[in-house]
Amino acid sequence: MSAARPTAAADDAPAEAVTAREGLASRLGSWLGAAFAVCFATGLLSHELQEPATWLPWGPSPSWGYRLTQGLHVASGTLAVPLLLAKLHVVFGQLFAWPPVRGLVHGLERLSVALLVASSLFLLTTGLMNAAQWYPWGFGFRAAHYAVAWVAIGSLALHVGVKLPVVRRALGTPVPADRRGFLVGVGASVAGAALLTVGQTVRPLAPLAVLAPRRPDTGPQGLPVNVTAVQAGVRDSAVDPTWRLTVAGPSGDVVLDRDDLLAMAQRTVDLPIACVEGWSAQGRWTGVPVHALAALAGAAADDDVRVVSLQRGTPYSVSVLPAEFLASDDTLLALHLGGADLDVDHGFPARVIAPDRPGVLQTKWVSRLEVVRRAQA
Amino acid sequence: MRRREGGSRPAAPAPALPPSTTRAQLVVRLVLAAAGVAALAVGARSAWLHLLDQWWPVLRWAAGGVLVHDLLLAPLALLLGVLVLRRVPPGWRDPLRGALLGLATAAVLVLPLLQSPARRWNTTILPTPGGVSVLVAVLVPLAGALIAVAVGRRRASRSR
Repeated sequence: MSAARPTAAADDAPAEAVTAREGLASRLGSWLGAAFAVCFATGLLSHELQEPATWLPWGPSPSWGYRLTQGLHVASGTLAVPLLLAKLHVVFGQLFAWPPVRGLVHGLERLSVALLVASSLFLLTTGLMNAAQWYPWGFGFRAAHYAVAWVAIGSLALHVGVKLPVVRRALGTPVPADRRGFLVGVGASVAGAALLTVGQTVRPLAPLAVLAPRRPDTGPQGLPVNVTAVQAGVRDSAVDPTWRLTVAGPSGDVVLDRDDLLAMAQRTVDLPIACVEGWSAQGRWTGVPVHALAALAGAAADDDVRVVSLQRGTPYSVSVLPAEFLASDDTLLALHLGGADLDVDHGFPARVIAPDRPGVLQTKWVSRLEVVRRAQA
Repeated sequence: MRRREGGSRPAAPAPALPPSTTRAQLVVRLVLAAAGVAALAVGARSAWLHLLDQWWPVLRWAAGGVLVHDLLLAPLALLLGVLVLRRVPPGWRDPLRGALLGLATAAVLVLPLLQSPARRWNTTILPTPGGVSVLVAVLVPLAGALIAVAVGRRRASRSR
C-alpha cells in the first residue's frame, strides 16, 4: 500500500484526482458493504439460533444450512480484511480534511464514519481472534460482537445514505487506467485470503488452509473439537461406568445405561458439525433418534426436549431441541462416530447430533433428556 | 509534476452527473438514514443491557483498533509508498502495492494463529505449525507480485 496515488494525484489535477479517489473508494466500499451485509446477516442468524427461544422459523432441512451460512460468515469477514485495509488506505487523506467539521450535519457524518471504522476494525479483529480461541480482553465476546455489529451496520447504512450520490456518480465513471492495477492487487489479496482460509469448511481446499485456525480433517476420529473433555471438566465422569441417561417426561423417568441404548434401533446418518467460528466437517453418526427416547417418557409430537450435559457452569451445558428437530429421524443421540465409539472429546458416552444446528447446541456428554411442553418452555 | 506510469492519464469523459437529490434517491437515502439510526439504537440498547459492566475494555479495543491503524499501519504504508514504490521501475509499482496489501492481510490473519494459547489444551485447533503459516503469508504475496511483474512485461513486449 502507498499514498503515492492520492498524493501524486493531488499535485497535478485536483478535480480529476477527487474523481479517481472516489472511483476507488466507491468500488472498494461497494465490495466491502456487500461483505459486511453477508457477514451481518449470517452472524445475526447464528446469534438468534443460539437464543433459548428464537423467533426464527428454522428447521432441520436442509442439513447443510447452518454450515453454509456460518462458512459464509467467517469467509466474508476474512475477505473484508484486505477490502477494509485498502478502503482505509484510499480515504486516509480525508482524515486530515480542514476544517474538520463544517457544520452539524457534517459533524454527524464524520462521527458516523468514526463509528464505522472503529466498529469494523473491532469486529474483524475480535472475530479472527475468537476463531483462534484467543481472548486477551475483559469482555464477553458474543455480547460485544453482537452489539458492535449493530453499530457497524447502522453506521454503514448512514454512510451509504450520505455518500449515495457520490457513489452513484463514481460507479458510473470508469476507473482511470493507472488506478486499475491497485484494484487488481486488492482482488488478488481477497482471492489469496480466500484460498488460504476457506479450506476450514470446504474440505477439498483443506490442504491449503494454512492461514485458518482449523482443518476439517484434524481431530480425534477425523473431526475437530471445540471444547475437549478436559476443558469441560468431564474427563472422568464421561467415562465412568456408572453413567446413566435419564429421560424425564409426563409418564415418569426412564433410566438407561449405554448397553440399553445400544440395544435400541440404531440409525446412521451423514451430518455436518458446523461452528460459528467458520469450520465445519462431515461425520457419519450412529445412534438412537431422540424422538424414540422422548417417546419412552410419554412425549407428544409437539413437545420439545431439553438436553442436559455432564458439563456444568456454561450456558451451553443445556440446550433445547425444538419439536421441529425432534420430528426428524436424523436428530440422534449419537453413540458412534465413523463406526467406532465416540471419542470422549466428541461427547462419549452420548451426544446430540441434529441436522442444521449450531455446533454449540450439539450438546456433548449428555446425562439427561427432559420432555418440555411448549407452554412450559 | 511527477512522471506517471504508463504516460499521461487518459482523459476521462466528463461524467453525466445524476442529480444528487432525485426523488427516488432522496427516499432511498432517507430510508438508509432511518435504518442506520434504528440499527445504532439496537446496538446501543444491547450494549446497555449486556455490556454495561464491560464498557471500558470494549471501548479500549474499539479505539485501539483505530489508533493502531491511524498511528501505525497507515503511516507505515505512506512511508513505504515514499521510500519504496517511488524508487522502483513503474512496472513494479502496482504488483508491489498489491503484495504489501497481501502481506498486511496475511499479518492480520496470522497474528491470532501465532498468539493464541489454545493449542496447549486443544490439539485440533491451530493444526498448522506457526512457521509454515508465516512462510506462506510472506511467500504467497511476494510470488504474486513476481508473477504480476512477469505478466506485465510479457504484455508490454507483445504490444511493442
